[in-house]
Amino acid sequence: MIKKEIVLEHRSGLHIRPASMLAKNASKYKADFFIIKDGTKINGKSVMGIMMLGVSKGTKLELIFDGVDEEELMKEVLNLFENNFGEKE
Amino acid sequence: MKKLQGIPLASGLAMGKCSLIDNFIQNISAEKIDADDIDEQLEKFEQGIKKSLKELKSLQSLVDNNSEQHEIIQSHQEILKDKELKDNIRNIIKDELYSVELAIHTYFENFLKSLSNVDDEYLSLRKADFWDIRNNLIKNIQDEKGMNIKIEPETIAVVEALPPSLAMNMFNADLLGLVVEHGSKNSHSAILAKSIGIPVIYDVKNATREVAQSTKAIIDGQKGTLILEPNEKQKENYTEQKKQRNKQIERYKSLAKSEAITKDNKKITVMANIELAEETNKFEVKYSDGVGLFRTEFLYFLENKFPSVEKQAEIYKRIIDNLDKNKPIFIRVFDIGGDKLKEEFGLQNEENPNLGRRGIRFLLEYRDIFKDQLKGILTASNYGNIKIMLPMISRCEEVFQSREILELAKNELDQEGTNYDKNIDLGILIEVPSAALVADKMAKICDFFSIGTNDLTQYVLAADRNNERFGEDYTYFHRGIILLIKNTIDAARANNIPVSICGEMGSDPIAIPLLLGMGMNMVSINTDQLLPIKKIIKKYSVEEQKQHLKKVMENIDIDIKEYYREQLKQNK
Repeated sequence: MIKKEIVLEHRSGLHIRPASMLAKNASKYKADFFIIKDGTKINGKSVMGIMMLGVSKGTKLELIFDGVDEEELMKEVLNLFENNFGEKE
Repeated sequence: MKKLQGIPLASGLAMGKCSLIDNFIQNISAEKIDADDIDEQLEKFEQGIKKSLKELKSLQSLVDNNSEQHEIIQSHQEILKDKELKDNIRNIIKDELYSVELAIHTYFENFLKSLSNVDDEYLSLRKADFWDIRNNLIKNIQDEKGMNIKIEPETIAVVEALPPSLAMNMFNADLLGLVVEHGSKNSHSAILAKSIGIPVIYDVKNATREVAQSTKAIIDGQKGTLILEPNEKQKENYTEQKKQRNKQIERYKSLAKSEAITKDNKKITVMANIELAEETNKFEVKYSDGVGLFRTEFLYFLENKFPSVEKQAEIYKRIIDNLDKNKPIFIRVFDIGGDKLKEEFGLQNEENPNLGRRGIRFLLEYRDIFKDQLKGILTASNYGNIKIMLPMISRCEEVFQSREILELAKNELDQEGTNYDKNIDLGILIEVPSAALVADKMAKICDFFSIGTNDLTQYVLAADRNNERFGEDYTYFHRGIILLIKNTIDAARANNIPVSICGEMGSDPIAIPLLLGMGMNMVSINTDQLLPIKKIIKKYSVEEQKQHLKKVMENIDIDIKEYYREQLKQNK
C-alpha cells in the first residue's frame, strides 16, 4: 500500500470532467484507489464518489493505492494531477 | 418584485404571465412496490441505463470532437457507468422498495444535497449536468404515455427540467419565453431550445418554487434574468428597452430581407445551413434565399432510429411551410459513418472511418434507409422546391446507382398514389477530391453541385480537421483547394447547373472575396453568420476580385490568408 498527500492545484476543482477522467483512468488498474478528504474516504474509481467529495482548488487530499499494480496506478494518477487533467490554466 | 438570475441561452425580451408546466418528475409515484416486483424494477433500470448510454453515444458522434460538449457528453457516460451509482440505486430499490424512478430521484436528490455543501462556484454550476443525467434516465425508463403535456400559449413557460421530448413540444406552442430551472447549456435540449425563437434562460435557481401560477414577469434572454412581479419603474424600463430592441430587430430584419448584391451589381444567393427544421423559425433563415444545406442526421434523435417515411415528409414539409414556397431547399441525405452514428450501424471497427463506409457508400449498402428517405423527400416535394443532395460522392457510378434507387422510390409512391415532383433535382456534394477533378463529367449527370469545403480541405491536404495540432496551417487558403473549387465552379457553369459553397469557408468573412473572385454566386452558411456575410458581400466587386485572385495564384510568395485578411480590414 502506498499513501500520498497532494494539494489540488486545478483552478476549477475536481469538477465533472476531471473527475470522470480520474475515475476512468484509475479503473484500468487492478489495485484499489481511495481518496480521503477531511476524514471522508471514497472510492477513487467512482466519478460520483469524487464529485461527492467536493474538491476545490487548494484542497488537501490523501491518496491511497493498494494492490498488485499500485505503482503504475499511482504514477498515472499523479500524472493527471500534475498536468491539470489536460486543461489549460 | 423579485429578480432571478440564470444563464442566458437565447436572447429576446418579453413580459407576460408565467405558466408552470407540470413536470414529469412530479408525476413519480411515491408508493412502495411489492417485493415481487424488485426484479422487474432492476431490469427496467438496466434497460434505462443502456438506452441513455446509447443516446449519449449517438449524440456525441454528431458534435465536434474537440468541443467542450464532446467532453461533457463523455463525462455523462462515465457517470452512467459508475458502479457506485448503480449499486446505490439498486440498493434503494431493494431496501426501500422504491420504484426505479423514485430510487433514481432519491439517489440524485441526496447526491445534490451533499454537493450543495460545497461552496465552490464551479462545482455547483455543474449541478445542471446531474439534473440532465437524472432526467434523461427517468425519461428513458418511463412510458411515453405519461408525457402528455399541456402548454398555455402567450405565456412565459417555467419548467423544472427540459428533456428533449418536452423541448420538441415547445416549438409552435406560441410561448413568450422559456425558463428552465435545472439544465446544462451543453445538452441536446439546450440546442433545441435555442432554435425555438423565443428568449430562453437556463439554470434559474428556485424558478418553479418562486413562480406561482400566473405570476407576471419580465424575461430577458440576453441578461439571463427573470423579474417576477415587476414594479412600475421596471415596467417602464421594459417598455423603453423593448422599443429599442424592436428597432434593432427591425434593422436586422431589413438587412435579412435585403438582397446580397455586390458593388458591381451581381446578385449572390445567400442560403442557410440548418440541422433542425425548427431553425427556419428564425427570421435570418426565413428571409434568406433558401436552405442550402439541411443536415438530416439529427432526425435520428427524434426516436433513436430513422423516422418513418411519413414522419420525414412532415418534417421536410415544415421547412417548406416556414419559407417562401419557391425558395430552394437542399436536403442532404443521411451522412452516416466517418465519426457520425458509426456504432449504431456497426461501423466502429473501421481503422480509418473517414476513409471508410460513410455518406453515399453507407446508403448504397443500407438501401432501405436510403429509399425511405428518398420517399420522404419526394412526398414533401409536392409542396415546394426540394432538392436531393448526395454526400461523399467520389465516382460517377454512385450517382447512377442513387438514381436507380430514386426510381424505385418513385415507383413505390406511384403505386401508393402519392404525388411528388416528377422532375426533382438530384445533385452532389463536391467534397472528395476525385469528384472535384472530374467535375466536368459529374456536371453532366447531376442537376447541381454544392461544394463541402470542410471535407474537401481535409481530404486534399491529408490533414484531419479535428487534429488540434494543425491549427491554422491546413486551411482552405491553399492553392490546391482553390484550383479544385475553381474547377468545380467552371464545370458547373459550362454545363449550366447551379453550384453553391456550403462548408465553413462560405461562413468565413475572410474567404468571401476569394470565393467571389472564383465566380461563386451561391453560398449556404451557418445561421449566425447569415447577416454579417450578407453585409460583407455588399462591400466587394466580383470583377475586382477576379483580378485579385489572378494575382495571388500567380505569386507564390503571397500568403493568401494574410492577403484577404488585409482586404477585409480595409473594407471594414
